[in-house]
Amino acid sequence: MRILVVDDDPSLCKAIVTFAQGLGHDGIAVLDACSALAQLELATESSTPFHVAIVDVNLPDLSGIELTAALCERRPDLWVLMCSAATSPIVVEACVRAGAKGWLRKPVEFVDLQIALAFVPTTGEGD
Amino acid sequence: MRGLRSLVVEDDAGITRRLVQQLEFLGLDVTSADTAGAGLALVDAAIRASRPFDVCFVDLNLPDFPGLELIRSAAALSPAPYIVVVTGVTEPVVARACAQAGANWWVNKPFALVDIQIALAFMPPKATPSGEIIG
Repeated sequence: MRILVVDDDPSLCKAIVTFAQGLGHDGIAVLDACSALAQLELATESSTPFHVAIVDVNLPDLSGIELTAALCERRPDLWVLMCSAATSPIVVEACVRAGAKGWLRKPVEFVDLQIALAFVPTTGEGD
Repeated sequence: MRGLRSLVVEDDAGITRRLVQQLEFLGLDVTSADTAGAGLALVDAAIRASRPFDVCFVDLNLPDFPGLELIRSAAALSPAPYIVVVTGVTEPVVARACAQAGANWWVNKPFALVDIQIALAFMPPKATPSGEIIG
């Protein structure tokens, strides 16, 4: 699977991408929402679309909720996993309405990430 | 969440008690079973009575047969409940098998109320006969 990681914490981005690559996935990380939208467009243009986006709720430019809505509008089949320490029901419900499909609680445990990825519908590629 | 019908299938009485309390606190109607066979019978009976469960919380290690088989059987019914695995197992290969069998969500033990709230928040909305969307 191709995974887009969007988080303003560079060390977390690096850790998730490295872990995903270790599982045989292809991961790219960006630190803000605008870069994520640019990467989504590039991936679509190059016919190497992302299957999963891991999106921090708090980003420096747009909110993770706004980014999720924008990602899902452009790519309805993209599986968006929200990543946050925040667990307010209002925030969670806003993420669901935006199109998120799953939730990773920070601090991220890699086994939780692996389990969340196990729930991503796949066509067998990278599975 | 209020009024959703839920089923807990778990053989540990303490965990069942805690989960039932949390679900009732969130406003759900809760039924419980301590074996996979009893759980599947309840799911089937509820469908026959036209009062299907909206959500089932399923442990994987049950005394009669594996929770994975219960998930597969329940997911094949119509209407299938939203299925949440609640387990101490943390093996991704098992998670993949559960997802392929029809599970919708995964909660690790020990769990907090917020884990249950998040699982329920991701349930697809339920349309009532009057067309109202709840959940």
